[in-house]
Amino acid sequence: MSQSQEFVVRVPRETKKRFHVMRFSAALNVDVTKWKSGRLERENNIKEFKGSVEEVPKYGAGSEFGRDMKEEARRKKYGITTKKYKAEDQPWILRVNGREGRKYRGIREGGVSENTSYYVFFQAHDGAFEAFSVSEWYNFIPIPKYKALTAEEAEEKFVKRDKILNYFSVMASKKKQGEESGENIEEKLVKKKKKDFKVSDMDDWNYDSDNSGIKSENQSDEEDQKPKNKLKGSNKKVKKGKGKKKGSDDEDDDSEPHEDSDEGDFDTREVDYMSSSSSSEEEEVDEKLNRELKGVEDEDALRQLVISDEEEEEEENREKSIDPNSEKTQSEESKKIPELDQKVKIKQEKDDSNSGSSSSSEDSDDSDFDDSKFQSAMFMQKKVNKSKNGSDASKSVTDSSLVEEKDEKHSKSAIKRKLISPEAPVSKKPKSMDSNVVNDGITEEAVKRYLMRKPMTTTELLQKFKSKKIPMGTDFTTTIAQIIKKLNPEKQTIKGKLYLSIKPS
Amino acid sequence: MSASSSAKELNVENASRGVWLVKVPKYISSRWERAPPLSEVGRLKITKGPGGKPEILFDLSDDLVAMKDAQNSSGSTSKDQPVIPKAHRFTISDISNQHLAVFSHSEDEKGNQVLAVEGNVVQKGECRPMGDNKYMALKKKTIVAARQPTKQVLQLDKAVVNYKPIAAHKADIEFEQRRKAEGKKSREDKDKVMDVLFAAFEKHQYYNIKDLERITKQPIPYLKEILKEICIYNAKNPHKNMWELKPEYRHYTASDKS
Repeated sequence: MSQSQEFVVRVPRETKKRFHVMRFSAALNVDVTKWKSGRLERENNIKEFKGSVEEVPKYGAGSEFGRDMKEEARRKKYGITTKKYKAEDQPWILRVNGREGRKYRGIREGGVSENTSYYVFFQAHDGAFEAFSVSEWYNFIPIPKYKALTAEEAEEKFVKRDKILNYFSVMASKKKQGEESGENIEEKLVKKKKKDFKVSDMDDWNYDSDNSGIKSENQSDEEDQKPKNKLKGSNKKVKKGKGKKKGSDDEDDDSEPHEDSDEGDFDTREVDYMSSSSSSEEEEVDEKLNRELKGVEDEDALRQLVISDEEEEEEENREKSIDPNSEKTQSEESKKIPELDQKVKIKQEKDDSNSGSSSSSEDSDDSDFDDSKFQSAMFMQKKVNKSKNGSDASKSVTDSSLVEEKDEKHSKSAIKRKLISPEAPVSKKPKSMDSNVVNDGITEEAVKRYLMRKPMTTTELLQKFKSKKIPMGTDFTTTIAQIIKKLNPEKQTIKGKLYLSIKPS
Repeated sequence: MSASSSAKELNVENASRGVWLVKVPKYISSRWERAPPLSEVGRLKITKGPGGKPEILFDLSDDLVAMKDAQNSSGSTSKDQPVIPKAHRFTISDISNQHLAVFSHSEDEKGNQVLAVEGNVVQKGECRPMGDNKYMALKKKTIVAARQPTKQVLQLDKAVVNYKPIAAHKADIEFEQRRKAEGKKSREDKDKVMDVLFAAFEKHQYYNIKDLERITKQPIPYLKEILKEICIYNAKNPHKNMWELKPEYRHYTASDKS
C-alpha cells in the first residue's frame, strides 16, 4: 500500500571545506537560486576595531623607534591586554548580482550548535545522501543604501512628524536634495556671496526701520544740521521717486537701461558693507549712501528715511538715547578698511548728483499725489533724471562687468523688493509727509498703495499704520475707515476673512 | 575559478541545488565524525503514507550503534556505556519564515580562499529518536552524568608541593649566556658609529638611547658623546627622553615639528 524508498547516508571525510549556513529573513525575499553572481568577503573594520588611535607616522619624520612595542609593554604593565584583530572573525559582506545589487552583512550566530549538530545532506549521483557538518551560522541582514539621518536631522524631522504624510519618500527626498545641492553649489556660489550680504543688510534695515530712522538721528547729532537737511531732502526725493516707481510699476519693471545706475549703486553699497567707516564724517557719507540704496531697494526704507528725517528727528532723538545704532556704529568702526577714502569720494560725487535731481522733483511732489497715474508718470521722469545722474556716478564706481551683470541682478533686486515690501510695516507715512497733505501719516495714497500691492484685511492694514509713528490723539482707525470707504476697494473673503484689494490701474 | 584572496568572488553555480539541513543529536554527530570516510552511517527510508504526507525514518548503522563514546572508551568501563537508539524519525520543520542557503569556504592548492554557494535549503529536518526505553535510559544516564559536580572533595595524605623555588630560572641563564657571548662593548671608529646612527635616523625621527645602544652596540657614554654632537635630546613630552637629529642633519623638512 505504501511505496517507500531507501537511501544510504554517508559521511565523507571533508577536511578542507567548511560549510556554513547563511540565513535570510523571509521578508527580504531572497532567492538564492536566482543569483547570477555574488561577492563575499570579510568586512574590513580594522579602523573601528582600533578605535580612535591618533595617527602617528610609522616611519620617517615624526616617527618613534619601537613605539608600538613600548606602548604595548606599557599597557601590559597596567594589566591591559589588547585583543588581536582577526580578519577571519569579521562579519561577511555579501553583494549579490554585481554593483547594482543588494548588499548584506552576515553576522555569525553563536549558540546554534551548542547542544546539537547540523548536517547538510546532499544527494550524490548514485542517489545516496552525503552529510556534511555545518560549522557556522551566519545571519545576513541587508545594508541600507541610504544614509541614516544624523541626530540633528532626525530631530528636525521629528518636529515635522505630524506634517510628513509620506514616510516612504523621506530618505529618497533627502538623497535627491543632497544631489541637487551638490550640483548647484558651484553655480550659486558666485551669485550667492553678494546676495547673502544683501539679504543680511536688508534684515538690518528692516529692523532699523521698525525703530524708525535711527541712523539719521545719530547723524543729526554729529552733523551740521542745515546742509544735511538739504542733502537729505534731495536724497529723499530721489528715493521717493524710485520707490514710487516700484510701487506703481512693479510689473513693467523690465528695466530701462537707466536702471543700471541703481545696480551700480548697489555694488558700491556692498563694498561699503564690507568696509564700513570709522570716522564720523565717513560714516555720514556711508549712511547717506545706504539710505539711497534703501530707497533703491524698497520703498519702505525710503519712507522710513523720510519719516525719520523730517518729522521725528527731534522727538525721537530724545527717546532713543539708548539706541541700537550706537552698537552698530561701533561695529562698523571696527570693520574699517583702508580703501575707504576712495569710496567716500565716490559717494560724495553721487550725493551731489542726486541733490541736483531732487530739486526738480520737489515741486511736483506736492500737488499730484492723489492721482496714481499721474504720479507714476512723474516718477518716471524723476527716475530718468535721477538715473542719468546716478548712472554717471555709478559707472565711475563700477567696472563694465557689473553693467553686464545688471539684468540678472536687477531682476533679483526686484524680487527682493517684492518679498520685503509686504512685511515691512513702515511705508505709509513718508509720502504723506512729503506731500504735506496730512500730518498724521495716514493718507489715501498710502492705503491705496498697500491695497494695490497685496490684498489685506483691515486689521493688517491697521497694523501697518500702528507701527508708524503717529502723533498721539489721532484716531487713525476712523481715518482709515473713511479712506477705505472713499477708495471702495474690491472685497474678497478668504478663509473667513475679508481681504481688501485694489487693482492697479 | 581561481579567485585570488583579495577578490572574493562567490561561485553561485550550485545555488539552485536543493539541499537538506538536518539537525542531529550530539551522540550521533560524535559517532559520525569518527566513522571511517565514505562508510555507510545509516539508511534513510522515505515512505509515502496514505495521507500523502511522507514519513521519513532513519536507521543508524549497526557499526555506529556499537561504537563507543569517545570519552567513555578511554575512561570508565564498558558496562557504563549507554546504548544509543537505532531508529530515528525525521520531522520536517517549517522554514517559511526564513531563507536558508549553504555556502562553503575552503582553500585551494595555492592557499587562495574559495567561496561557493553549495545550494539552498529546501527542507529542514530534525533527526529525532523514537521515545523508547533505550532512549530514556540514555537520557537518564546523561542527566546523572550532568549532575556530577565537576569539582570534588578529596582528602590528601600529605602536602602537595605546587611550587619549588629555583635559584636560576631558565630565561635568566639564557640571558646571561648571551651577554657573555657578546662580551664587552668596544668603542668603534666614530665615523662608523655615526654612519650607523644616520642610517637609523633615516628610518625614524626619534630614538631612545637604549635602542640606539642596541643598534650601534656601543657603550653608552661613548654613544652619548657622539649623540651630543649630532642630535638634540628631547626632555619634554611628546617624545620625552628621545633623541632626534639636529635640523642641519635631517633629510626631511621639519614641517611638523612637535
